[in-house]
Amino acid sequence: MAGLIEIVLGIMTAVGGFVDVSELTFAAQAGSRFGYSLLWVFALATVGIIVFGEMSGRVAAIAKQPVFCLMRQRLGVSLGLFTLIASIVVSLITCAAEIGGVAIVLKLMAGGAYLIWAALSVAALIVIVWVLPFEWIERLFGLLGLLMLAFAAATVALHPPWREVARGLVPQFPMHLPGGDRLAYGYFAVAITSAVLFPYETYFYSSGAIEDRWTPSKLPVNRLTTGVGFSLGSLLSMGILISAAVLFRPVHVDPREPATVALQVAVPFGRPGLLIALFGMLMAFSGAAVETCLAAAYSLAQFFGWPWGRYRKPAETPRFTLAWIAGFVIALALVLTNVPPLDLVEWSIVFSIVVLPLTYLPLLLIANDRKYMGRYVNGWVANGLGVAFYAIVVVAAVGAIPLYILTSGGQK
Amino acid sequence: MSKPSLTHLCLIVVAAGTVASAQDLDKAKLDQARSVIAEAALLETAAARGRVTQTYAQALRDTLREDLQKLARSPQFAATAHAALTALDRHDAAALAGLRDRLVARERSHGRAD
Repeated sequence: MAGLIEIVLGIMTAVGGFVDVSELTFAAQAGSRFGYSLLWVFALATVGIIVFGEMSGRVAAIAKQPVFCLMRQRLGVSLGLFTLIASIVVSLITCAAEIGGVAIVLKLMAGGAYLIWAALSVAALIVIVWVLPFEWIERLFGLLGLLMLAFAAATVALHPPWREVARGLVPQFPMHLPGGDRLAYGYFAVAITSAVLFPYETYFYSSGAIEDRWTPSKLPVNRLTTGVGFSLGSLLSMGILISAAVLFRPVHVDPREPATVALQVAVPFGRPGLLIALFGMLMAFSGAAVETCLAAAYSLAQFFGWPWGRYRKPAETPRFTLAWIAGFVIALALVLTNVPPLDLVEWSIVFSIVVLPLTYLPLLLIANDRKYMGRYVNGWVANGLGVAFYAIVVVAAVGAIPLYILTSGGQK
Repeated sequence: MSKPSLTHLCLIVVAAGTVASAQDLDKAKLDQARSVIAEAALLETAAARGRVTQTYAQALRDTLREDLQKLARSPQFAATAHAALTALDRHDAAALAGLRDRLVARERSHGRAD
């Protein structure tokens, strides 16, 4: 019974923590701009995060190695250091984007000034991470983030044309669009891939497995959490895209802010629905802010071999503790410069995909190494999928920055 | 007629690039204006039907007002942006929808594909 509860909680936490500010805004913009035709990218990228998420959890449980320890071993110090710096920069920009999202939602719920809400929310998040044990941090935001399911309910209530939706799941490239729009389609495809496969997710997931002291007995939980939890989370993101295609596309709205996306729930369910959606967004973005900030601190501590982990008291891990607090402060400083939150989201998306190949390569190598993994080494399915998705990620990484520049972040 | 020198060719390329980027800029601004005004129309429709809270509507109006004020600084969009600001202050969804439709028509004449 306890095992079943653990599995259900793990899946629910994965669902509630799946959507963050980047996925929300990019899914809504993709639906508004290109209808259902980018759904297949979500489906494909979800298989990718399931494959690499499962691999990172398995490596953590068997080899007892989180991603950044592997990176230093496999990539060497120079390339490892480059990846470390790039990952930290990306995690902090992403954290700033999430904090911006939290502040926007608080302003929508209670009024007041955006920057004051940003500062207050960072103070609250620091207290929460300091006080709560790791398991509760995960569950608090993951379970309350399930209120985002209001978006899934809204999708059903908006009665989308399901046959057209199903057609969107078939891989396609809209050759009928003018050149500029085709480039923008490519940019959105790369951005969605990046938003689903964010590198911080594997850093956080594998470090979390070590925080929770996973052993081989946890491998079924790992498989179900990644397989079922990430799939359901992705369905939620797809629901946001579908609702945007139904609600925003006919009236020519390109939803560039979480505030606008919340209308997807307000239109069918009115004020109660709106408040539930806003609270769900608050929890989902807060959870992602905590994950990105901790991911940056985990990376730093693991790379330099410092004691780390929220299962230890802060006094036992002074450099790690200082790192995550500094992470929050730096992310807040970025928000306080008044950079538009959507710019932060776009930068985090573009630079994340550039870092991804360096994140996934050592993981793929270790998961294939019988010396570390013993009988839990990658099977042919995991290996085939791992190599295929690695190739996709490399192509997306190469195309990301040129597409961002050519389309001005998808705006052309 | 003399052969064009390298300097002439460079000037032509730079001028063409400038014209292209100016057109891109206009298209991006037009897209932005259409979306902001469409958003305002959707918000006012939802607010009129009691679908959103007052705090939410006010916060989103503030954001949209800022966006429209930025647009009003551009000579090409000043008149439309001012008209949209007036309609937003009056919570006039129909007027905002009318302005949106005019911008959509302008976008279509610039080759926008739906």
